[in-house]
Amino acid sequence: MRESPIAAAAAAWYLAQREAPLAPVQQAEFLAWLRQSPTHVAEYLGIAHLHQDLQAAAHSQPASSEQLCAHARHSGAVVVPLRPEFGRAAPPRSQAAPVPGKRGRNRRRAFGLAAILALSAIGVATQLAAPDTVAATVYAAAADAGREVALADGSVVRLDRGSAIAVRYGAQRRDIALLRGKALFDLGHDPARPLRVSVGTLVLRDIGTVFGVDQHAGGTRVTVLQGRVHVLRGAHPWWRRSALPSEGAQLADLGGGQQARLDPQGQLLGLDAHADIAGATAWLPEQVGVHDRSVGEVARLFNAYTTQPLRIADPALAARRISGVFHLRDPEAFVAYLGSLPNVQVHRDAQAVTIRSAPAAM
Amino acid sequence: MRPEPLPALSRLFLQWRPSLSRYFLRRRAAAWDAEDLVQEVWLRLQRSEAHAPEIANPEAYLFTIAANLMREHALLNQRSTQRDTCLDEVLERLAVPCDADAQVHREQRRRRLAELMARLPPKCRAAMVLRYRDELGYQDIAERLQISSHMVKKYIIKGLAVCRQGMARYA
Repeated sequence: MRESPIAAAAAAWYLAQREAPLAPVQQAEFLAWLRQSPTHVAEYLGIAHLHQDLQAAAHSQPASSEQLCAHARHSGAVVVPLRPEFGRAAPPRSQAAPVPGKRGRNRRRAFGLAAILALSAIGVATQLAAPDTVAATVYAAAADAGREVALADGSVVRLDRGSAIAVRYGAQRRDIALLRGKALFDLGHDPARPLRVSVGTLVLRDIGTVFGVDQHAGGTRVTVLQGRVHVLRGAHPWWRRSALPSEGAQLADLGGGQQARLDPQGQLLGLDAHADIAGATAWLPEQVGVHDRSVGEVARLFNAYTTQPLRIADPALAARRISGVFHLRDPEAFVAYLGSLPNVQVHRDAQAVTIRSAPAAM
Repeated sequence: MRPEPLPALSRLFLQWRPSLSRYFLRRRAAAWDAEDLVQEVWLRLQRSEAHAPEIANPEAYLFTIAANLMREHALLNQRSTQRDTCLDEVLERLAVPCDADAQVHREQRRRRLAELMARLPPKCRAAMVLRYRDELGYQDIAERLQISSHMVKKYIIKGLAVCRQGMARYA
């Protein structure tokens, strides 16, 4: 729960009154604040009322001060209060960033991304107990480096510095929550297991797309690069409570190149049919060093920056292994490189740049 | 399953039903009273605008207005329900086995508050418990959590505000 500014102001005034005698200027400010609105009076009286019971409530907390401090100090990387039953269990288990291991084998075979990603991934993954017994995993990027997360279904999520997501994939559905910061979602479509992305009080329903979400104090920005995203009002954050994300009224239906801005309460502030894509992806890295990855994977990296994606229509070309440093904001250089390969044809239209195999010369 | 209510008891119930409904009406009215009270406190604060500099301690002033209003309110209520006060008193004792109704409410409130506290984010929760249970100062808490005492205060303000919102219905 995010605290209301009025309740916080009332709490701040209440504490100030208890700590030291206020200077006349501050007293006058306080009086002015009280006079502003009956809500201020109500909140102040409410805090005073609450304060009487605080000691008793605090005394019934089972955790020892050592436990509380240890938990608090370790909560830097993952800020979300996960499951709050403290007395019963130790603080959420922390483990190193997912390294390709037993579970990663399939993933690596399918995408070959995991090896590179694990090298660049510095952060903490925490197992959460989820209500439907499928554990949710938190992926957090370190404060000084972005991170790319390759998920079991082929989806790739790029996290900005200091950002975090929670992921829970079940048999029936896939749920991802942006806990903080910015992320770019490149999601695989699977009609049997719909995917929902929760951001604060919003739910984004996607139909195989690339889109960015940018969450900050002033609200949320959803920018669709390719495909289509439905922005819906959600009821509550599933990663905090024992519930599945629920969907409410639809707030926006975004196509490629479109952007919606919403305030922290989930009210739609504005729709932009021609979004500033460069601005929305400014946090993504300028260039990437690639070693022995497929052309298809590299094309996908470029597709995080543009509304006109690269499509590699020739499976043999898509599987071809390449290495090099690519300037991700300059897809034309990459297209020119691909065009220079033998038996390759470049086709452009408004939706995409398609790379096909040219009919073999007779 | 019990056979039938005792005739004596149902007679008693019929006899006292009007008072029972009055009792529940009054309970429900309490929420409205609180809102009216706040509105009235606020209006009196507005009216005091003229001699604002004289109010050296606005908090004490606020509490005095509130206490006076509550006293006036109690006097009004007493006058209007004077006729069946005795019966109401008896009912109150029947409905609430403990001797003090307020005590039951306070227990509920404290349980709810403890739940809210347990759900706070780790740093916020630690700051709240160290402050209100272990009675540590901001500086001590800051050292234990390895943050600044300014941040400790921020976490406590946040904790109070979140609890206040969670308690709004229980106030």
